[in-house]
Amino acid sequence: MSGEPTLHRVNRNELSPWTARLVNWLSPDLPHPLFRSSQVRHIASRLNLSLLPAGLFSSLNTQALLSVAIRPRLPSNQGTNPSEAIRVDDKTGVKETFAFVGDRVDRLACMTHIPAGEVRGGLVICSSILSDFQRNYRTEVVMSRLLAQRGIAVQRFHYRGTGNSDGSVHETTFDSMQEDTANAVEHLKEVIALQHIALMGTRMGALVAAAESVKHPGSPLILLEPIQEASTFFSGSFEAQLLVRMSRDGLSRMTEQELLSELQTKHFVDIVGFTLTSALYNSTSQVLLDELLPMDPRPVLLAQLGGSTLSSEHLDLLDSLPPSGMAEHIVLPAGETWWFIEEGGEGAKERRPPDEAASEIAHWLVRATGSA
Amino acid sequence: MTGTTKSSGVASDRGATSRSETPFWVRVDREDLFGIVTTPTKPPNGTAVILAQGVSGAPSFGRNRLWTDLARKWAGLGFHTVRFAFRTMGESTGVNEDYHLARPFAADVLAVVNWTLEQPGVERVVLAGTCFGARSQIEAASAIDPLAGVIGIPTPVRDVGRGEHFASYPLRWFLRRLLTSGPWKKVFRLRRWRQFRKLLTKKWRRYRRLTPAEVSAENTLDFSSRLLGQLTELSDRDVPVVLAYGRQDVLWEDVQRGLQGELGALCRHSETIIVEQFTDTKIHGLINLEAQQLVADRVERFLLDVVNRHGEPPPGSKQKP
Repeated sequence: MSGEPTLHRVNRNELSPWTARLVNWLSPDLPHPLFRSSQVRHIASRLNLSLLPAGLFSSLNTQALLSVAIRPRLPSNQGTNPSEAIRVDDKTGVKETFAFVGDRVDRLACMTHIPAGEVRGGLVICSSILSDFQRNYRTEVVMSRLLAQRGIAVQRFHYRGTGNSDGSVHETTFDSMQEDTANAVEHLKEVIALQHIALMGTRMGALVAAAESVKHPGSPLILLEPIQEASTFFSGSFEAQLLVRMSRDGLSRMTEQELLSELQTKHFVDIVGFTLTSALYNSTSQVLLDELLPMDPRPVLLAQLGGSTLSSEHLDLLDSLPPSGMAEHIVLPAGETWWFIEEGGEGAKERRPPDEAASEIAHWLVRATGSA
Repeated sequence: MTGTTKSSGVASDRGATSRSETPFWVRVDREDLFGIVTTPTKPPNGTAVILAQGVSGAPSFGRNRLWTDLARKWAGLGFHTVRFAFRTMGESTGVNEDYHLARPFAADVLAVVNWTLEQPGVERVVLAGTCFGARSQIEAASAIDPLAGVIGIPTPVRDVGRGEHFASYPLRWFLRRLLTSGPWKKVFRLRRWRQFRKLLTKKWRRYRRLTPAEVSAENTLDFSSRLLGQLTELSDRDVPVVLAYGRQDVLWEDVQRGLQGELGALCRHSETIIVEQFTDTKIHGLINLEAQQLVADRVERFLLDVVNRHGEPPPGSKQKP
């Protein structure tokens, strides 16, 4: 691997066990754990490591040498907290921190993207669920990096019971997703000093973002290709599963109703390789976006994927928003069918949001944050 | 099918949580790879499992968070388990439109393995991957020591580009598939005609997409000679290797052709290379919970075999300096 090996000055108590083991293995004849500078040089040369400047080194006494930990192969930006990992992008200076967050037993997997310079806005992204979550994942990662380059601090997270977060999939409900979003907002607020954190919801995530935004008056809200009725989302997912069954087993006699019945009986059902639980379905299927939208005046951006103009469905949604003076929309390049992640990557080219889309959202967000 | 399909593909009730996990970044070729290591919740058995997935944009947690569930479950069996995202995927950095099985991401696997071998309690690694991930791991295997085993489930055996697997098949192959497929045989049951029409449309679009006008000249119908060499080397090192498939996997057809040639000869002479069809269903892509459960069970069985076999230092290991 090509990671630049470095020497870190760390607290003596932070010497990791493997470091001590490694040193012992390299030089079993040396008295452990006391080392002279020449011995450290010997160890370093065995590992092909670079050393601290010679002048500094020669001034170190034995006690000081003990505070030098050799940490080969770790990038210099590796965090010291075992629950988090940090990287700083060489080109953009954007700092990305992956961390398990929360005081609860089941913690959230959070990725925070912090701009190198001035933070002009903050955004929490509420992902969609099931197949959508995985399908959009890379797009959301790249979008977050592009936004961070433009001064927007972005918080992504995995709902409990999904992704890298703790928790069982059976505990994931609409309420738990809202709670997770609230925790993600709080986490971002701890990192950046901004009062108004914007929320962006993708597909089903739009319902979660809208519900959570009510608790944050004035905060901007971005709805990316929002699902307006959760029941239609699930109906589409059932249809996808029935198609898959037909493709696999021949002409399936199962109907959507029977699949729903199976869900309620077994408490879960297979949706194209993703687990839909009755807990999630029952808590979400009756949710309507227009009933969740905040009624206070606030900036709202509706982003549509594909098409030359806004669809009538989205136009109706815009009409249902309270007059805020900042309800806008943009049309982004279309993706492919949402439900089918191609098997084994066949034909599934990487879906990267264009720079322009990120720019549009960033500009809108900066304006919206200012007005809020 | 073996066992019962569970709700999340695999059961993770008795395993670890994020409190046993450490996220990390590893740098390779100017890209940063993201990964998470799950440490055992019982005394470690010295074996670390490196999980790798295909290129369908899969993040580190895998489809339906299968990797997360497995890592946490296996922590209760004493395994370290590492899940990570290849460059250009998940949280990792990089942009690449050129995915080709002749050029798998072996460097990524090596970087992650090197990082893993530095963790306390890790004495050897087992590579477990699907599709492109499996090929990347086998490519990297020659440089990994100590290596206790490799399981690819399933492993593509031809050198083709992404989205071009079907492109080199002749038209008669598609016709045969269509005429022998389940939906076609029951086409006259029109009670589900609407669904059937949708399915047909989907398959037609897929066919059009998968048979582009121009495909890579590197694509071949033959068993990859590169892969064969790598398997031979692993056999010489006495490293257990399992290439497992489902009967309905298209990849299995390629393997069967290979078994009639040099792969078959290798399998007959090697005591450690196993090529098997372990289920009647399709497992490629892990496209349903049943497939996920089957894969989880098969890999776990392999891991336990490896641990039983390697109470002593792994025989595939070379002497350390």
